[in-house]
Amino acid sequence: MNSEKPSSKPDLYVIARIINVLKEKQRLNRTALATSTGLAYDKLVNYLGWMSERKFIEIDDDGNVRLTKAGTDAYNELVRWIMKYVGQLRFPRLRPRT
Amino acid sequence: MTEMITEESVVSKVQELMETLDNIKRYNAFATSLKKFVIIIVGFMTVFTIIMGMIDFYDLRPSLDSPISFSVSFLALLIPIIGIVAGVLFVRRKVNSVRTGEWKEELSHGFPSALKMLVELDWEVTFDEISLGKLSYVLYGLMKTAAYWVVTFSALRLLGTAATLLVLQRAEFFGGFFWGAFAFLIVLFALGNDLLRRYKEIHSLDMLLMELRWFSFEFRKAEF
Repeated sequence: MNSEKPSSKPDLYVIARIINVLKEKQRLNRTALATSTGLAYDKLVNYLGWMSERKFIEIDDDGNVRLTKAGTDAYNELVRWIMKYVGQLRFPRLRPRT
Repeated sequence: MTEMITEESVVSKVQELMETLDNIKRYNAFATSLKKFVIIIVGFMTVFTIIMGMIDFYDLRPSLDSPISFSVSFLALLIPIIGIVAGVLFVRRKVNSVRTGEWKEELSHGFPSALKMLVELDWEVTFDEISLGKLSYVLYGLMKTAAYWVVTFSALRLLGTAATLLVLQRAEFFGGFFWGAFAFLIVLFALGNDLLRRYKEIHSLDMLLMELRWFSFEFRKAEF
């Protein structure tokens, strides 16, 4: 779906996965990040470019990737947004009987 | 910490959603097995009707001097009963064979996986499945009730005729309409709770459909 540069509409799942790993591991080089997220290196680099443009991450001179406050906030905002809607769903107890 | 709780809440909600969708798959099993269920029930009912028709045609109706015809008629009643049992067991097997919980491993990876599931869920297919499952569940319930009625009606009529013959020495005291209405009341009494629960389930499925339509609309129109 997103083998090319995620220019307009990135895969939210991929973004969330990258942020999730960075939240957990704090700082990681691109190869290790690709392994941790299970993404192909090229795909990861494209996503990192997209996230870097929006200041969600910072990449230092050694190639280590770090999550910024903006990245953390965006992730938290996404979680809150999802919860706002999914939290309103009420599921009935269903048990089909024969 | 609060964010962790919110993430867990999202995962928990998505888990509830997926469990509900698993149940929808079970309702859908009624749709896939309904045709065969109808064939089984109608098939057995047809055989029963033919046998009873032959008893009528050859004038073997229960009478005081032919107790064997009672036995034959009561034995013939086993045919639709076997049909109902076979039909219900067939549907039960199909419903129980539905594979569920295949999403559990993926969801164990936390919020990103929960998000992926929400994004990748085919809402239109889900809505169609709920509608079809609901309709099939209603038809199955009606068909089963009708089959119960046929058996009850036939049994009552036979028993009624036997009792009338023995007590009043008459072949027919109450007409078919009486036994039909009486059988209907008995079936209604016996299956009342079951029918009520089915009605509530259908209502729950309607409400679920409305909620999921609203959610999918909000989710798809969102700009992140």
